[in-house]
Amino acid sequence: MSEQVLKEARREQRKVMLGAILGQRVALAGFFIMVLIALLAILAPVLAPQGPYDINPLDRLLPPSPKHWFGTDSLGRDLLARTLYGLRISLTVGGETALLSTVIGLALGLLSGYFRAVDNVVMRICEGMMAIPPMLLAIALVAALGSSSENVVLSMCVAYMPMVARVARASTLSVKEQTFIEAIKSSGAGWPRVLFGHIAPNIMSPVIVQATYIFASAIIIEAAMSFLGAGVPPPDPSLGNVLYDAKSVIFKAWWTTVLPGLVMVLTVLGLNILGDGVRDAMDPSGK
Amino acid sequence: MGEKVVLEALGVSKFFYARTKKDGKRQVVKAVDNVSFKVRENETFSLVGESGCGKSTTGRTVMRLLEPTEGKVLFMGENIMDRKGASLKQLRRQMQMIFQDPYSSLNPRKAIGRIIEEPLEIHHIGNASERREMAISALKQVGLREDQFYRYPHEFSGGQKQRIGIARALILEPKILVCDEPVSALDVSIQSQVLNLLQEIKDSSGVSLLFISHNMSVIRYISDRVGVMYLGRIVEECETARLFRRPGHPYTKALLSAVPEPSPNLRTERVELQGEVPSPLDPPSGCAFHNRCAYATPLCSAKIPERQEVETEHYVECHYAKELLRVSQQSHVLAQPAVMGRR
Amino acid sequence: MAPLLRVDGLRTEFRTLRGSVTAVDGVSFEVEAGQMFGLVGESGCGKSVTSQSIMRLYDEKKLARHSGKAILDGEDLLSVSQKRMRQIRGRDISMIFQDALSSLNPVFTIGWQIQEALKMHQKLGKRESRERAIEMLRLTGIPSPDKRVDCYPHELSGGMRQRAMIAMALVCTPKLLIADEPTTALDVTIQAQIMEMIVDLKDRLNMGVLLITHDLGVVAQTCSRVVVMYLGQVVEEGDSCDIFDNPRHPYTIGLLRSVPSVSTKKGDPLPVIQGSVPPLDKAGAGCRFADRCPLADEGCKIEPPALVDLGGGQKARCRKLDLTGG
Repeated sequence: MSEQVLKEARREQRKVMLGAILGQRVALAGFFIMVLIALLAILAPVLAPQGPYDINPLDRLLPPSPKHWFGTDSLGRDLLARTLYGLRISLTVGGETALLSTVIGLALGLLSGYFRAVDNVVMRICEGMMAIPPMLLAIALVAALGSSSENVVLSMCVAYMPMVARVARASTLSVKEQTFIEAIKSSGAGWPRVLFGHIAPNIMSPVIVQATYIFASAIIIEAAMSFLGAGVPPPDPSLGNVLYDAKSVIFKAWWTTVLPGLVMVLTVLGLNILGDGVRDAMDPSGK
Repeated sequence: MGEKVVLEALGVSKFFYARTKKDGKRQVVKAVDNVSFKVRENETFSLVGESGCGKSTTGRTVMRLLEPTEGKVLFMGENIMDRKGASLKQLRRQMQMIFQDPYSSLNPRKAIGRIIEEPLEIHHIGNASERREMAISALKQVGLREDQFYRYPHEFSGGQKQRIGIARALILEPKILVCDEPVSALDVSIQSQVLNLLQEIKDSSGVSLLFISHNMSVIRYISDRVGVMYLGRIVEECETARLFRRPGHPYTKALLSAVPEPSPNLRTERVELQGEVPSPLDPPSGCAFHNRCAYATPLCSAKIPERQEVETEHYVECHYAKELLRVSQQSHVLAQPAVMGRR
Repeated sequence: MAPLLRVDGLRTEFRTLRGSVTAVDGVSFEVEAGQMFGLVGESGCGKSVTSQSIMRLYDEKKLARHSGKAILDGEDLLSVSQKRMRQIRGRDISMIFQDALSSLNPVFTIGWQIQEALKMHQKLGKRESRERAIEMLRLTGIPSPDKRVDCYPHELSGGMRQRAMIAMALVCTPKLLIADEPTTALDVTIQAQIMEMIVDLKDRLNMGVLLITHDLGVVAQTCSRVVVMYLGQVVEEGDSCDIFDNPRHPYTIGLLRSVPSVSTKKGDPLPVIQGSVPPLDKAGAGCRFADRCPLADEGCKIEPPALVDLGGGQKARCRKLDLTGG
């Protein structure tokens, strides 16, 4: 009997929450854009008309046509294929950067917001790192470590982690003063439960917004780094080095920059919309 | 009400050190200054006073949410000041707290059933389904329905949130419940519901209450004994009815006369209190109340009054307690029966 | 004699996501000069919206409809121009609030803030207006006002800030003072001082005071006439002796009884009003109190009760008044 009532209540609650999420038009739009883009990236081997590395000197700089939807580049490679594979690498690099820097930044932020002793050490280091523009820091690190996509991820992580840590710390400081923290402490909870079970869920929305922002800007920074020769090394395509290759022919063949550029814009836009939407959807009061 | 003492504070002090310095010394705020009291089994002991008098700090210090600067706290006759780790956790199980602000005292990201269950989880009591059963019965005990188990705090009104807080505190079956201004944030009609609930729980479970409030009429209704606090000290302590009938300390008197009775026929003659509570950073010499007291003499500004037992179980910290008590026997407005609710 | 303020059928609707809600529904009352008038109710009853509607200080974007009259000295505040309204505010009507700290600007001295009100409404020289500010501070019982006039709000204690705010509100000697929960944030001993001061100033300046509060004790101690509100409607109105000694509306009766008093026996359960105040948009077609009322029958839930005149200036909005009489 009691079980029945509870199950019913639970189903009811899930319905309400699902309804709240479905009501978030903006989040949904962002979500669909990102699903579409992710599908494009995942299905690149199926969708691409030919391999991204296939050079065909006879077909150099062809404009968009039914055969080459995005045209071809100066080496005669199919641009659609390169863009799709580039999207794959860019999304991987961006996603890994966002995930890694968020996890580490969140942990550091939580700890330094909660423990004063940790705070002084960690935050001074973070402030030092934030004094250097993330792009410069990342380029310097790649220059020191050598150019590979792992190193690109690693260096961007180092550059972005302090931002997450700061956001997480600021939110932790305000959440830890709330009465429910005192309440759970007075029930006998130890610090790991307080910190990870109660404070962490309450600081997730700003952190997630920060994470999507990092995702988006990592894609742009990676492109910029590729532009400067410090990004994902060629011949692997990334959205950045596809654009870099197009630079020299920008006036002869507009499609080489415009079309991959549009894909990048759409990706970054989708991520930002998703970030805002997720933040709104995560508020349990539904506002 | 038993004679057994559940909680006893012995000369508890809690000082905070301000960042500002005066005369080269760091300024000290004596938030709680040498406070002693007892809470007996199944008794409601109240601490009353104006904001900044140290009543909440006292509550948190005896709960060991704050570490006292001096003094000790006995729980069931045993000193709990040096408890740590597992034994402190064990103690937490027996002392629970209800907070003033029902809005921030519940985690907004947890379903209320989970909030109520969690203390059980912390103390590894029962398995998952047993815990849920217990949470449901606690939910019902405070007048909520089990189909609200998975709802989130924002879906409840202030009074209901306070009930959830009470359920969370009760689920561990504590020996003592510290209630810090539990009804101050609630509307009048909801206050009485929550007060009734607390009274009912006290009667049925035998728990002791340490009740902290600034509201005299609430204190009068719920408590067996009262301690009146002023600038970190308990200036008067006695049984409730006696305190309201024959207050011994001039501050208590002034406090009682300042309470507006909800009846126009009882427009009270005020014991006019001059000025405001002095800054705890710079308390007056001698008796902390002397600069606002109508009866103060030079002795009061020179010497801190001793706590004296003017009658059985009636303690007053005032040089002239006995004399004043004789005066207050003759006339006091609050001794009259109320007209309220009369038809 | 015509009343100082006559509010007649005041109705304020706000737009929300779920359609419009009527926050104030046909409220009427009269405040006379030199009278302390109490507007009582729990949170969400519309008492603050009533005062904001009179002052026209609501959020214009959210307002859906606004009707009725609020006549101050023969002039309908709800139909005058915005410009005229700005002249009236601060000069003819002033307002004081619960939270003095956030109602005073932290970056200016209190003297400056008092003088600012003067500057807007009266042409006074610098020295004169400073003198006037000091005089106002003295009037509100601030010790050594000639020094305090140059203090910043954070340098004053809570009670002093409240006094400074009152000084600011009264500097142009308004005809009507609206006091919205003026002592809720203060301790009882300070509350007693402040209320005493307001009553004293009211007599001296012969102004009407509209006291908005949830504290029945404060109202009983200071007001001569009271309106009790519930969910945007006036449920009972009368002289405070009648309201407190012989309440007729079940809500008023319940409210008064639920406050623990000297006569409440320890250990006896307190009389309560069941349930809680429902959200405005969930109020039924009939009596808004019907769901919580011990006397309500099916008829109460369908038919909205009218405000019945009980004689002696007492009115109550209930269909069961024959059961509550005494």
